[in-house]
Amino acid sequence: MTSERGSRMVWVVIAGGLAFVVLAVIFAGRFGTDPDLSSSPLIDKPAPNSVVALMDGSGTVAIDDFSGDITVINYWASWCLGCRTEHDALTRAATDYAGFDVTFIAINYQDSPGNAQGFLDELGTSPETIYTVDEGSRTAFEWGVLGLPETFFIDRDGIVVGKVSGPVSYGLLSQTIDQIILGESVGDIETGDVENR
Amino acid sequence: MSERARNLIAIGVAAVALGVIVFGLFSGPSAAPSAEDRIATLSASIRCPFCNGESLAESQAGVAADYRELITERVAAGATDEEILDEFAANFGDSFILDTSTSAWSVALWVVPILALLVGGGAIVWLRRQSTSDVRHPITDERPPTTDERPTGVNRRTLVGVAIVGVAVVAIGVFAVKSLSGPSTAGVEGVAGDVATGQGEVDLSKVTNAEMEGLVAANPDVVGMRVALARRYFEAGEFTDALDHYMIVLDQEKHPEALANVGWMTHISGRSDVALGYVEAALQVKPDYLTATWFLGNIQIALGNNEAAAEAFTTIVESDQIPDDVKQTAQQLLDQMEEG
Amino acid sequence: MIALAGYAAIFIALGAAVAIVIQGLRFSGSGDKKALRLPVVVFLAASVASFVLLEVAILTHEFSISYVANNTSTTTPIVFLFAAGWAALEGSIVLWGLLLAVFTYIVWRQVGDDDGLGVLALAVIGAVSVFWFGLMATAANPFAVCTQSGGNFCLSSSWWPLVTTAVPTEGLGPNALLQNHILMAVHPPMLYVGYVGFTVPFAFATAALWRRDTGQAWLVRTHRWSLISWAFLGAGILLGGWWSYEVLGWGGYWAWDPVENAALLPWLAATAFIHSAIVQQKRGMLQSWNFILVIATFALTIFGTFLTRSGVIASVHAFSQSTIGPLLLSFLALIVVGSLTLFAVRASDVAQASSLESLSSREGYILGNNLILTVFAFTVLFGTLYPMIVQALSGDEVAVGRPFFDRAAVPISLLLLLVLGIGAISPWRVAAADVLWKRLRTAIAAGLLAGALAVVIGIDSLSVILTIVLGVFVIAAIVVRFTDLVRRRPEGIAGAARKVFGNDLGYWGGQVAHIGLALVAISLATTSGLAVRDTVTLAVGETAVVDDYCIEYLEPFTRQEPHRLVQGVRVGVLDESCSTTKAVLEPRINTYEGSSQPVGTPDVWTGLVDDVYLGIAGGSGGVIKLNVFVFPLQWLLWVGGLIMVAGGVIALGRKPAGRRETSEEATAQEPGTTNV
Repeated sequence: MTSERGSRMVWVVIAGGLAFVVLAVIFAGRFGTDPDLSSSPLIDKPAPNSVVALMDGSGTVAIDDFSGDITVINYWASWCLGCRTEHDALTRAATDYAGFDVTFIAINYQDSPGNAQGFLDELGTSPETIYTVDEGSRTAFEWGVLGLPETFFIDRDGIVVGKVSGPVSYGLLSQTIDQIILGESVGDIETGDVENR
Repeated sequence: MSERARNLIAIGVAAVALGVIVFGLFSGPSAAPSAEDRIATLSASIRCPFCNGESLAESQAGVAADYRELITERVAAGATDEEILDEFAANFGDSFILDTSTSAWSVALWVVPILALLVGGGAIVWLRRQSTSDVRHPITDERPPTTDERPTGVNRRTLVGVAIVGVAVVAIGVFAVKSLSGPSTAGVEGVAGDVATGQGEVDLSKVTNAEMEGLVAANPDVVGMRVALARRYFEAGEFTDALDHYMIVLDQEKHPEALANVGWMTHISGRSDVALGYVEAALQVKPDYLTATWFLGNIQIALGNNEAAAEAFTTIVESDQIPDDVKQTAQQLLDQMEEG
Repeated sequence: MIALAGYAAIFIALGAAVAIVIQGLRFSGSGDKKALRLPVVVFLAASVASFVLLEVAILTHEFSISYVANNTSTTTPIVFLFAAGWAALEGSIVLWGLLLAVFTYIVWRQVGDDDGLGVLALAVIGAVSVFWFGLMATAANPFAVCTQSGGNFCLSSSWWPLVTTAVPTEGLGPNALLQNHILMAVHPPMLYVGYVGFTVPFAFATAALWRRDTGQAWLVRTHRWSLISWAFLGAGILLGGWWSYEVLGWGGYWAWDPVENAALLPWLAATAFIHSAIVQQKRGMLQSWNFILVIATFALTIFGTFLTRSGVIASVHAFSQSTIGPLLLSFLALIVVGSLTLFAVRASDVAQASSLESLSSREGYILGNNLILTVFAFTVLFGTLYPMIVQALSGDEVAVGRPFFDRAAVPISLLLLLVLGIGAISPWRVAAADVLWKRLRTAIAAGLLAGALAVVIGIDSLSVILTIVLGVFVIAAIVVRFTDLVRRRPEGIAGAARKVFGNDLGYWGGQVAHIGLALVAISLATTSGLAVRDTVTLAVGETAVVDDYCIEYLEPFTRQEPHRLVQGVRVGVLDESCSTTKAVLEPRINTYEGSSQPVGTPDVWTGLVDDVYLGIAGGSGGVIKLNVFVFPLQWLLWVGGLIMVAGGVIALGRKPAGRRETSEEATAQEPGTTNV
């Protein structure tokens, strides 16, 4: 009786142990990935026609105003370290690709106007970039922004073809835009930490 | 008071109270939840982006406040709960909806704990059944005199146990360390890979070769760009231009497409022996590169190595990623080789 | 210098822990505790030294140590400086190690002469300690010196202390949320005492299995350890909820965050264990089950630590990303696979002596509640891990959050209350229907009457009504049982009550805890089901009515404190007609030195029934936007929780003993004479 029950218990225990090992392997596979990051559902869908306010207060622009262009939308803020890292690459790329009908829209997110302007004064701007501000995080909602920096790419047909989470380098930026010029899909790319506050 | 009286009072009070509860709860229509309650429930059901897993209701982040405001507006505008949740799911993904009751996955989420309850309940009933048979046995709760005299040394079962523990722990540890040290820039490499294999649909109508040349000249170090341009020349049969760009690429990295196509062009220009080196190098970098395998088969035929050629074509024929017409050609070539 | 000394202390403690393992294994046969004296004392001294040195380094602003530079600053108030000793990852492990060392010493003191089980258990505790101090000596070194300064923080640090150090001129200061409330200094140590405490029952259980000493000894000897750890863990969770309520400002106390769940899991398992341990002691049943529960409880404490410190799950409570995840996971694997294998190998030695005579009996109901608690724990665990499991199986991204846990917890808790109410007053062995009816009839009537009253005053939520019915039922059942017993005694009421209570502190301590649980359940139901939420926008002097209260915006205020800027508003809480002021509240927004993110702090007025809870939601230009929450019976949650913990403490007074066969029989045959 006793040993019979004991052996049944052993099977229960072995089953529990196995379940644990499977779980442990699942856990082990997650080390080093950011649990807060997830893929964007917007990829390969038409871009939302967000309307954003220009930073200088002179009005608004809509994403659709640039249909036919390749559009690069970059979310940034003065408190975001990654934005500092990528700023130079973005301004350079905006200048270099100006002749290829590529529009850069920088959208300031969760920031104060003073800090944002200070950031641009310090790090410089590109005349080819449209600097805007996301009031009330409305466009961040439409674009499903998770954290900063994030950069979205829209092709000439108005389809969201790519998204980079984390700072972009000039190489990655130009490579991605070139791919889009060629009509290739880009998808989700992770380059490093995304921040929020 | 007699027992009987106590029973009657208890039953009476309980019955009246139960009546009041049932009548009170199920008579009037229950009030619809207020807008504030709906907002609270909704914001507790939506994960705040990048707030360490907190919901919009709990997070102090500025963006959470903005999205709560947005939900308030939607509710005021007459949107249903479902519409609001759907909107968030469409923009952020399903994993942002904490209320999984609508998803297919939630079935297992509910079924498994209920199963656990049933299995456990079954176990207790089984324990009771088992007990009936030995209920007359004397109840001894202390074990017979134990331990210190009994051998506590290592026996076979213990050894097996220790071995299992060791293997499991080492396996998990190794796996964990491995995954931690894995490349964190996988996505970037993936981009390069996409360009290399040219899997994307190339829409040539929008960019001219001259435009592309300009791009490549402006970005001399962007390999993917240059490969794409070289591929255009290659596919158009403009081998001189293609070769120029591919050779620059090969100066920078062992790009499989560049290796294979340079090999093919060399083969066509008559140097099949040199071509073999390129194509084999391409396959070394990317063993499952079918285009290179196809080239390899043709080059081997030219070199008279029928066996090696047959091996390459067999790979082609057995692959499921190759268009049928190419497969047919490969099969014909194989048949020819067998005959001759 | 401090770094070097601290590092040396950690290595000495590590060596001493190794020595405890070796000596414990060598002398487990003879049970000679004196052989462990030196390593245990050295272990304690070195652990205390490592903790004290870390605190000294923090209090003297020794910014050459990376931990000090990155978690404190010169403007941090003294209380939070002290608490910084355990507020971040490495420091928390130092505190963990200190507690382990103190517990090791206490266990050593309790070990008798010729006590093989106790000596082997010390070896197991030693082995657990080797892991934690090994962690401190390598991957989570609290004394790592700074090699590259980032100005007001340390950019990179060195594992090896004998290198040229770079000294940041100022420290970064603690996380803003952590220095916003004094509770943050108390809540983690409470939890850690609970977490670390379960090492002792676990050690005795595995030692007993190893020695085939699978009788009652390990259970009886660790009974108090289990109770104390359970009480501290519960108190820690309660304080965490209170902190969340007082500080976070979203108006809640429990968010089913993965890390909160990770603290609840061992508590649930431990609650089940405490009850099934009673069944084994009284009735000789459930030996195997107790081993499994104690292993599960300990493994779940390590699991909680793993979730908090590995970065695999997104949680506000998680420490910043670190590299110790794989080490913790390996340790967890060693614990789970190792102890389960040991159990499997020894299963045939574990007796199943006594049997379940009737499902309707004290042991039957305890068994039922054990099942419910286990399923509760399993559901929480399953829900917490479900997104990961689904992602691994299919790649789909799903989320499981508050809506699922809330919905699942309600039926489970109601079932728990029902079985608890019956079980608490059932006799052992067999509880016949007529006995149960006699003991429960008043409680049934009282519960339903309370429910009817609730309906009459206008509550129309089914789950709230059910919780009130069952909660009052549980309390009434216990009170009726107590008064019955008191009335049967010849002494006067006070003397009889003292006698009944004092004769069985274990039982009545448990019943006090049950009453606490019933109160907690009622409060959970009313605060979640009957809360009133509103957002009002007011200019100075304006009022708004929310529920039965009038809110008046009196004035804004700003004050600069050394480490923070406080911006707040004074708001009056008045009665419905806006005539009598009940309280003036000051919800604030604090901005801390070195942190750009402001932290909102709510303010609460607690009345006889309701809590009025105010938080700043925004506002500009002389207008303030306030979140106003009214939570009925919120205070009952804290009081009920406190009663639960007190019940655990009362039960400590119980004389640890095995079954008392004769009085058992008496209870079964003549209900009501004693309540053993």
